[in-house]
Amino acid sequence: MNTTPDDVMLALWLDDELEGDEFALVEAWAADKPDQLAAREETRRWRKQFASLVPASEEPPYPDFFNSRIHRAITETANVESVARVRKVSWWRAAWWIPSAAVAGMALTFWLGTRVPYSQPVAPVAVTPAAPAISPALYTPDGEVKADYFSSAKAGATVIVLDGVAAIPDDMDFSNTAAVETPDDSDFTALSDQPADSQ
Amino acid sequence: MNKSRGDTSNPVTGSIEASSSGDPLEMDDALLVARAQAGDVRAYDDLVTRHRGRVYAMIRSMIHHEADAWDLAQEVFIKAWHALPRFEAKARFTTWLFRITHNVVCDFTRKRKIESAGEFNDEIFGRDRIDPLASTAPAETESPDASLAHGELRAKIEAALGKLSEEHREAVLLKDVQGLSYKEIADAMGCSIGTVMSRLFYARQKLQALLKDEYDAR
Repeated sequence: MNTTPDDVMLALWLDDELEGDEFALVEAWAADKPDQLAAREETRRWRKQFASLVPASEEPPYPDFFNSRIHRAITETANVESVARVRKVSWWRAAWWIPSAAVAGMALTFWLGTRVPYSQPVAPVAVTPAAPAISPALYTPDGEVKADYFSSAKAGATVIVLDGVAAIPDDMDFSNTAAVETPDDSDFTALSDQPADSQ
Repeated sequence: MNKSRGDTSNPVTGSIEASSSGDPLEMDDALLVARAQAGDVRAYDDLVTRHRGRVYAMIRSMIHHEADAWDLAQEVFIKAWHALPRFEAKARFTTWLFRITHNVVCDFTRKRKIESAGEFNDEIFGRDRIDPLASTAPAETESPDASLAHGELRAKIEAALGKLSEEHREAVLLKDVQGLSYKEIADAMGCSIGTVMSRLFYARQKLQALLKDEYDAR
């Protein structure tokens, strides 16, 4: 079985960084190797001497001032950050209703959408408003004449029946009862043909 | 970390070594992070107090400029505050902070390179553009006051770190100073574990060569 440690394990062992089984394994391997044991002792000696000459800790000059400057720097930054945060919060509080209104609007739109049943689109139809059922008022100047009114939407006809009206003679001249336009009335320019002094 | 980690106990990074899942500090971090995520600025202030030393030390070791390190460490914590809502408890808060630190330092060095492009200004010339093994590479010297304050050896270490590439420097600092695991370093640097191992190997090799005299004398 090859128990020779690799370079990494050996370096860790030389610097006393191994522990547990790994340490025991390399320690057993190095037990009969005086050069390795000497190398480890040399490393330990070096570390000890070097560390005794170079301080690991050294108080900075004016330590209280050192701390107070750090304290001031971080509290000033914290104040700036808190002011920025307060501004953000203030804006949010001032406009708290904006998101609420948006959500309410969306909910209302959705609800209205659910109220309209889905159907296939149809071609638009011109819808004629139904004629109101009006009963015409009938009036006859002659009280002996009765008038009746009949209307049929199905036949598309309206009939007015007058009862009591004397028969109209065949020789009746309607020209006496009807307004017939004369040429002068119909042609206004005809007057302009007459002499001016005749007017 | 295995049990033998205790043999290499680092007096400076002890708290980090103990940062396992049951570590009280990690648990406190988790509580503070949860409160900070809820907007508790005071809890975050506690987190800053707890971690500012490590972040500042890391950045200072990376860029070797005290004032810039101070500003960048501030930037790390301000960015971390803004990113905190996205932080998940999958990783340690420390590892996550180092990830932000990595990004901040990378941005800074990238801008510095752009600003210094085509200029011959010694003050802004990026040292990481100089071949560390070049015979004419200038030594990184500190002012006398700083040298006295940090010690000569510390200055030499910083000078040696300054001659590493940015990636090698970060890997060795995260591993050997901050005590992160390979996996955590890979997470922080945004690369694979294999890449971390490679960078760490070459970084240690270069540092040992650069600090040979001091290293052998100890």
